[in-house]
Amino acid sequence: MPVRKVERELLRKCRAGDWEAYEAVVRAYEPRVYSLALGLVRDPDDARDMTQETFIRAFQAMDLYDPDRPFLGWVLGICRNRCIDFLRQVRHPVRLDRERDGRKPQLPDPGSRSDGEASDGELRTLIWEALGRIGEEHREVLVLKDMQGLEYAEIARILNIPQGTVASRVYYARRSLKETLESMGVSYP
Amino acid sequence: MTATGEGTGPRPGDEECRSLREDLVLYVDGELEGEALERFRDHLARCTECQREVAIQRALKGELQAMSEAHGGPPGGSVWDEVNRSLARPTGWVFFIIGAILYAAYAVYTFIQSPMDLVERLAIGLLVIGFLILLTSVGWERIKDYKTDPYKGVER
Repeated sequence: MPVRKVERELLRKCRAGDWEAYEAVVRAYEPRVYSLALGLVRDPDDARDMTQETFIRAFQAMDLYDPDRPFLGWVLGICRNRCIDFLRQVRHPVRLDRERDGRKPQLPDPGSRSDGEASDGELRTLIWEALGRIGEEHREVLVLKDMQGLEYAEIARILNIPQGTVASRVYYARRSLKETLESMGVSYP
Repeated sequence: MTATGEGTGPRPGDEECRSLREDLVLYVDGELEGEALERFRDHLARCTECQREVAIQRALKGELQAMSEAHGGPPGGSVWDEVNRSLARPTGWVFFIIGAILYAAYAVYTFIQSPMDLVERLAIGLLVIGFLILLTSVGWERIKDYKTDPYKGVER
């Protein structure tokens, strides 16, 4: 059976309240959702929370899901909105700053699970840091386009902006990333 | 626009290059098609600056893709258990509340039907009413405190 058909069948079962079908959906999509959340909130623990909340909300809103649309784009849209809300809360914190407890936000080691050489890992760590320094709007499109591999039409739908604007943002976001890397002393590529 | 013949080519910042920026990213991402693709390829063959830009954007895209693959799944394994718990809990509460209401209704019915004398009936009635008043007032106070608590959003 083609993948899209299997996905449709699973989602149809989810809408009918099939718990096992939803478990399969969660396990299939959680790496992608987590990766988006991590790219946006940049803390592995927070990204895990965002992933969890995304799937809770997705299940609760399953009736609103349009089966003609790819599920991935829909669920990533939910995740992106949740992360934006979370970042807004963090930016106007009533919460205690974690750094005050001596616990700095933890950066994942992007190269640690790679099979590549150490230099690849180092470069990815630098790119990860550079991603944190570019504007949120730029980081968002890079995460959706380059890390998630979504098509422009899907990103435009998630961000609710024209496709041309997405393309323009991606262009400037990559330039901004390159300039940031250069300012960090990395001549890239 | 200064895209001229072979050898000279557009210079960085040229109007032609600027107007093709969106096409450039679509080309890098494999989403440029038809006439626009042909037009961009023509330009690319003549423009060293855009060739360089394409190379840079492709390299960055490749690194970001590789980084995404390296992230893997959430730390500590799947989030399914937490999701399952969170979604199942409200159902549990619904059953609990319905059960509690049915049991309370049955208790009131039994109390009314029981062959107790008036004093005993009054004593038990006052005990139950007093308990309910105390419970409600404590609950109400808690809700009021929570609503006005300026530190409720504080993550400890």
